[in-house]
Amino acid sequence: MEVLEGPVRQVRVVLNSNYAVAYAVRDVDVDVIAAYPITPQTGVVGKLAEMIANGELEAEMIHVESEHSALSTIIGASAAGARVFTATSSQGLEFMHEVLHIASGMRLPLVMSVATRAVSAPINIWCDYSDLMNVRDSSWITFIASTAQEVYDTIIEAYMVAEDPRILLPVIVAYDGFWMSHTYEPLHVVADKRYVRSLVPRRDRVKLDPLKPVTMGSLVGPDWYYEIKYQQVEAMREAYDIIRERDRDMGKVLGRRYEPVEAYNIDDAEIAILTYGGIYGSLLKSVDRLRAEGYKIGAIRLRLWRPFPVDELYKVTRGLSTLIVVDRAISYGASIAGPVALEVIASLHRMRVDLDIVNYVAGIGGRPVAESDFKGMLELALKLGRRARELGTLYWGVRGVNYE
Amino acid sequence: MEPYTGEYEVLTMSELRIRGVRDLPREELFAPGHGLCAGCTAGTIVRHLLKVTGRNTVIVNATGCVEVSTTMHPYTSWRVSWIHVAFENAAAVASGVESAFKVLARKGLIDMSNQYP
Repeated sequence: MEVLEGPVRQVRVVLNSNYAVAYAVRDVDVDVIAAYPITPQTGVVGKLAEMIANGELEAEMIHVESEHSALSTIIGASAAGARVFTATSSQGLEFMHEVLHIASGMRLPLVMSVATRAVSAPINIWCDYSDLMNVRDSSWITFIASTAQEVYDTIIEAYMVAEDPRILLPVIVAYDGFWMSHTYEPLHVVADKRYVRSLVPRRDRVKLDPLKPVTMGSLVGPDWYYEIKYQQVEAMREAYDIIRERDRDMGKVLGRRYEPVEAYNIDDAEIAILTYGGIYGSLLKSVDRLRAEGYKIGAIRLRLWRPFPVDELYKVTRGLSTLIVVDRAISYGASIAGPVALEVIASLHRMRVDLDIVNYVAGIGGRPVAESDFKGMLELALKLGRRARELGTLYWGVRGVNYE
Repeated sequence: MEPYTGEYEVLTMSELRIRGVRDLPREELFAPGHGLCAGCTAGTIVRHLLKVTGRNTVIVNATGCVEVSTTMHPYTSWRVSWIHVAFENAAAVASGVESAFKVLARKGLIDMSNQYP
């Protein structure tokens, strides 16, 4: 993250990422919130309920009986013209699955935060990205944040992108359950929320208006369905440029500019480790130490998962000889079990870049990934050489698994 | 259809004075030409339902016969705003629609007094 001078007065506060979401939702003046409590997300809507009770936010909070209803409710509210929000994790996100596709197919500008968590069974409330990766193909624009500051900024950016009349797609802002949702960090929030509201002006769009009757969610047969779905393909593709524009706007006004793919110490690097979410902080520390030990290594972070930033990834990886991708979810039975690694390999193949890509799966079910783990992954990859690539995916830190 | 330009007396459900078919409004808010089977009662029910509710209505329709038979893209039989989301969640969607109107009116973002009676 590049720190720039911004013209807007901001105050320094200490928040966990759940609360950072709530502050941003308050600042963009959301109208309708519906949610069902699930760990580790609960703090988000708990804080929002408090803000509504204190009069800091004028919104309707609907307590629903399930996540399926939570998403259905904000679909109804958004269709009626309201600015809406929900938050969930793990089983809640899975329970929404059917409706996720309807939300994007109806082109509604919803915003949802996801404090990522492992999925059952066995039941596990701790962090990994299995829940998020499971909803990959539901046509939601998806950001993965790595600090509480970025969570706050990205929620605001999410509304700017979702409500853009050229896009009108729902947006997920994800961050690590517990590692981020329950740990406190210093961050800056905008002092005057009217300023944030000026960033997300109220725009007219097609809505359920008794004066101008519309039919939304109609039956579409084989003669039209494909064209309508192709419009989603186009919207997702166009969203990439709009996100880049909004990244630049955020840099100008808030002094913090984000990139879809961020890199550290990459210019002269021969090897890089790519990951996403909160563990990027540990990776940066690890890279500093490995540099001191003489490794020509850099770090890469994926911030934008959908639409996937192929060009930006190409720019930071083209000079490398080895790329280690550390995934935090498992696609069972896949040729490459790490969902991000699979995407990285496909993207670089498309760009005609051939480098050794080693995929690790780590941190499943909340198992910590520390600086020493990144060092261990690097050393094992170098020791295995070509074999690491042939193995497809290496499961880091599982008892009883040995690749040497 | 001609846009409605006249005036209605605003009546609550309990004040409606519809005692027989002659008292029903002439305005048709459910258009003919839908795809329901000949003789199906659903069409008659919807047609009369809309005569009672009037134009100031948003219909939330669960997946089913009425939904698929009345909204075959690019056509619609509905002259009021209508939404379908899925099979099992019409009530949840309706709660969102209602809450949206309430809060948007409270915040001054829509003018409810400007609606059709």
